[in-house]
Amino acid sequence: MSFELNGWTEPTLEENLIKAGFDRRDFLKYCGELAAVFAVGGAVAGSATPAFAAPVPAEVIADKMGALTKPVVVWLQLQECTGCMESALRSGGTTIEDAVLRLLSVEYNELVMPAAGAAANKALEAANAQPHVLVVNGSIPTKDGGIYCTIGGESAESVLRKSSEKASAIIAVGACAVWGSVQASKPNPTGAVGVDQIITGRPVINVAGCPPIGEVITATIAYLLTHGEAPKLDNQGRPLFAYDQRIHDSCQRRAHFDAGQFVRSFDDDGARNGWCLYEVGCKGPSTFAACPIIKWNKGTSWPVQAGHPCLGCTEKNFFDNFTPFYSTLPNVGGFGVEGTAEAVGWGVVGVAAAGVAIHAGVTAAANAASRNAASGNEPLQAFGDSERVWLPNPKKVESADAEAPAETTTDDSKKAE
Amino acid sequence: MTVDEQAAPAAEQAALKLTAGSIFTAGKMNVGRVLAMAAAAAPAGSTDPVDVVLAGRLADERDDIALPTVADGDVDPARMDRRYSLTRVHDLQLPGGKGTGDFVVMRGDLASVLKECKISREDRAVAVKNADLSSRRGFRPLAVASAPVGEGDTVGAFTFQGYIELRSANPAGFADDVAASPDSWARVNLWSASLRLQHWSNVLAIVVLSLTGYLIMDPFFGPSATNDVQSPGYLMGWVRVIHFTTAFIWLVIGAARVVSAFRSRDRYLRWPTLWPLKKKEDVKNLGAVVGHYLFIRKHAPLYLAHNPLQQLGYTGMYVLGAIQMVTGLTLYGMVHKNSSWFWGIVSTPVDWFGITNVRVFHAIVMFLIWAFVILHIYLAVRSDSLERHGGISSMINGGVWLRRGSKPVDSPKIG
Repeated sequence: MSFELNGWTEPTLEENLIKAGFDRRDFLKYCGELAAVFAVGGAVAGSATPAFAAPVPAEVIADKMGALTKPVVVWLQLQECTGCMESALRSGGTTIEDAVLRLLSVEYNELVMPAAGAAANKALEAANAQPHVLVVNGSIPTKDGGIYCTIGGESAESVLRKSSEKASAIIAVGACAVWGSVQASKPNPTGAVGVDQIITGRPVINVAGCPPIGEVITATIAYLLTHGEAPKLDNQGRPLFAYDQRIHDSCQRRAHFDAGQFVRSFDDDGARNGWCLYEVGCKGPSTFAACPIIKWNKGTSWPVQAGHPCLGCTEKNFFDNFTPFYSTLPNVGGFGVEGTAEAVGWGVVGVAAAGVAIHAGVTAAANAASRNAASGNEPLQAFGDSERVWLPNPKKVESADAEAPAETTTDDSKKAE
Repeated sequence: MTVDEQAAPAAEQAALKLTAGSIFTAGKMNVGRVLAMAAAAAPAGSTDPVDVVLAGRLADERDDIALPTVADGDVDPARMDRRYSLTRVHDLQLPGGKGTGDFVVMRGDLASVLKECKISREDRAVAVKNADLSSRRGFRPLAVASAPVGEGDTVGAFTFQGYIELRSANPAGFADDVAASPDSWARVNLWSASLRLQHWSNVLAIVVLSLTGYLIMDPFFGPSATNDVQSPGYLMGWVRVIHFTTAFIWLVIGAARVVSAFRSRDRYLRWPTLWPLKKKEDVKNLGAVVGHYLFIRKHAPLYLAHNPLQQLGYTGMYVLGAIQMVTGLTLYGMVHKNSSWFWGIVSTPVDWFGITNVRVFHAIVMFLIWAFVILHIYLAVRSDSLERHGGISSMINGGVWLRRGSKPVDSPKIG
């Protein structure tokens, strides 16, 4: 499919798309996919609560999306790697998502906007002045006055604050914008933080992931634009329609987990059989994301399907909490060299056992010593404790010392007997 | 042996008063005969404290046995290099009216006497173990062996006959607490049936939870990729089912413990017992107990139930158990946190600390509980074998044994 975008020239989104070379059938298919993404969250069997995004027919979404007049979207890219944009734009070749994203973000986005330099800054100012949707990629460095990320000489924090003033909704896209990601991990030299640590007191939608699935990014934006309100969020601000289930619980390898069939090392027989990756560090049991359901690159595959353990990139602090990536549990700090929980635990048990062994040994020795000491409180001649003789002239028992002299040793006296 | 002791004046030695405890017989003679044989091996009119106490005991218990007089010259006293005496006893009355016989009586230190006797390994072990027990109670075993004297003064082989427990009548040290008669122990019914039931239910739950939990943390064994492909089974599934089921049972046990802390009439289940240090005295005694375990103090303060260190440990164990219950529920509920308000609240900690951190914490606390179990079993065995209060069996039958007359810190005097 090829298309040609010349900016937002027609009144509505649908008209712009048709002008660019898409037909209504493509658009309806796209809206159907969005409806499917929204429906992910409702898929929890026996769920006590209704679906997190009410099930909406694709036609309704198409009507709403198609009727969108030029929305103002400010898409900031701060301390980040552009991977999130790549995830959205390069998810499966040139697609209608791509076109929609480009059309939506045309107002201000460093990557896809035509303008550059002073013109770009002017465009940002203009967009900031109107009500707009603010999408943020990247973290915000706070150390040293924020000098570690500046745009047009202005710190990332200042850029973010200005853009947020009139924003009708704020979406933090990607692990960097959500909590800071790799640059916010220990030791966090730039003091990087996520959007909701700068913009407090206002709801921030956290589209978590490193990067998030392209469809989840566009679906979140589409939800905002079509519903006029934020989707339901979990405790960490993530849209429930995509982050309500653990990877582990919808994983295609789950049956192997339950059977106790584990890949013990990469490229072993278990790995060839497609067994569970838990033992080589899969963080699926600790990670809430829709990867097994929506998958990546137009539903082609996802990490665990491809044979690699989940890194848990949709969870906060995953670089600190989930490393080493290829061990089941993170290491326990504070032991000089970090140790695995298991090693540290066995160490604790070993120290206890060794302590017990030593203590038991000392107890036995002390007990033996005190037994001897206790019984020797008063020297008793009858036990041979001293040489003192209570008889005036001790004579020997005839039989015993018939041959042995007075100073015989024990052995001699025995012989004599 | 110090020089001072060797030089102690004879008068003092004579003034020393001993008591005799139980008499151990090797099986060939009854205890009275063993006593008689020991008492016989003394010269007439001896003032040696050992001779005095033996003669007194014999007069008290077996005045029917008349002892022949032993001349001074028939006694070869014990020496430091030969820790037993040899005494020629003429015409010793034989049991059962079988007339009299001549013997050489060997009497003194047990090890030295046993060395001179022909005795089987088994009999020796029985004697040594019994003597060991006597030593723990502050007694010294005075061993007795005898050899018959036949025609022409030929002395036969020495046969070990037994020993007599001897102890100073004014014992020092912990013996202050020891009642006058070593046989007077009192059984105190300490642990109620419901407390014991809870203890062993907890043991069972902790063992099952630890084993299954360890396997969940590190499934180090399981089906092999080459052999078990056709019948995969449900290993991890069962492990988790057992872990979760046991966990909920443990929660019920925990809840029952909380209820009994407020409702029970048993003072050892009431909530104050969970409070480790109640009074200033407890803090002081905590130091004393620690000092005892560090071998600085010879004796720890006597407690009927838990000493302060023990109580600290047990309260700590309650804390560890509560942590495991909370973190376990958190991890269990996490799966349902987005579909149920209840599990949403229960699993809130995973949003604060991160799921893996809660997992690590849960695992580390398991190892801490293992360490506790090791120390707990060791100290229980240790104190039971040193103090002989039946502490281990008390968790089965409920009763501990204390010497009559002892005064534990946490109870009235044991009558």
